[in-house]
Amino acid sequence: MTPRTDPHEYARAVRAELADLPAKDRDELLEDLDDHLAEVAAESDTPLEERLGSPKAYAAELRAAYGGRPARTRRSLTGRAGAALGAAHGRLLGLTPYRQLVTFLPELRPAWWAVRGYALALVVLSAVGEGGVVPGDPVGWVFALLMIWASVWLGRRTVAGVGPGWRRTPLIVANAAAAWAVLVGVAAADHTGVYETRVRYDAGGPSPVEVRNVATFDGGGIYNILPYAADGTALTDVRLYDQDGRPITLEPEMYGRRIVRPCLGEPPMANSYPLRLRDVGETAYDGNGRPMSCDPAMASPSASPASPEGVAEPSATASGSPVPSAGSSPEPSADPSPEPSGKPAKKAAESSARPSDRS
Amino acid sequence: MDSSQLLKGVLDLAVLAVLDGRDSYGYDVVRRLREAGLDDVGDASVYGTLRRLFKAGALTSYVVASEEGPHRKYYGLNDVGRTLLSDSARTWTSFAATMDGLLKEVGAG
Repeated sequence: MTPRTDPHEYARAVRAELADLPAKDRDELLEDLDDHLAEVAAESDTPLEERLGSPKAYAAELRAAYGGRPARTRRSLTGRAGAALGAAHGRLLGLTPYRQLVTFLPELRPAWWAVRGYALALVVLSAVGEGGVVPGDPVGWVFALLMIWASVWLGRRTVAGVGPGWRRTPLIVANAAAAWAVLVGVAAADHTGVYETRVRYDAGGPSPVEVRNVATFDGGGIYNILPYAADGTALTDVRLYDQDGRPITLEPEMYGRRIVRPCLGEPPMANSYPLRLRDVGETAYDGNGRPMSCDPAMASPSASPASPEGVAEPSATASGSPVPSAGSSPEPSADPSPEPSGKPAKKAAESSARPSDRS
Repeated sequence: MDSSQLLKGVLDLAVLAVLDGRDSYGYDVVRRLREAGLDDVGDASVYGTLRRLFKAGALTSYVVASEEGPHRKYYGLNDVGRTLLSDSARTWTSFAATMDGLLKEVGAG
């Protein structure tokens, strides 16, 4: 290599050596380098490289003088994070409990191997459609056990002799995936209750048996059941029992609705579907505007078989057709007005409600 | 002992001291330091030190056009630089005195 005499060429080589510095720092540092080197070069005919050393050495000296730090190889973010973790680990080793934990952790390794295999098996099973924190069938269990065995085998082999770096990478990935699966699994198990419907067996005792049922529709819970016959006819007053003869009830209160309490007749059976429901806040008022403890609209649940739509939307049932027909008929008959009303519907209601008075 | 190691610690002080005498451009500072006896001082070290002190706000700078050769960027001390110089000089004086005392005992023993 011929010695560099051109200061600009030398400056270019120095710049190239400092390419890893932040652009702002580099520009500030090297702003006058060309002029400065030209000054040095003008002093003597001796090539710059002989007087100043190699551009590489010059760059290292510049870096040290400017930043006060030695030449550094660019360190990745993970490298720095690793260094920070290492430093924290070193400081924490001064604490006795931490030291004990560190010595104890290796003994937990076999347990982690087993958990790792199990978690990875669940990940694979959920990928093929079997979700849950336990395998759904014997095949799933066999697969999980195989995964555990493979994981333990791999763990024992890895402890015996750490392989080269490229062989550890898949292992690290598998470990991370398993740890993630365990965390997600725990979180999911915690939150399953949010969307599940509680189907309660009212066994008559003080504490009803609760059965968790994850059957849901569109993310929402179930608060009513609409039975239909095979020919499409909407059924009413269908009573549901489990295999032991215990009534199956829902909890519409969980969804802001309550079962209608008719003022006349027997209280409704909680397992008689479809349930007649109203919004919890909706209260019936009597003729004097006082709130009533029961719902006068339905003398008997079977008297006004509601359409499924009406049941599904309780407000329609409450303020819809049953109320006017039942609520309006007693008043006209109580003080019979002689003039014929121009409302045929009302007339029909009167005649049908009190046929004996009229005839 | 390698004096270049010692120089690293006091180069700032040396550069400030040179500039306190009169304003100088980069290569002039190198020459004056060498004339003063610091033969080992590196060109890159001085240049880098000047840029760092300037960035730190201890120096003023101005460009003077020269008849032959490149423009020269002159550096001079401002108030920050003068304060830095007097503080560093005090530190050095006390450090040097301590070292002198140590060496005197060594010589006596």
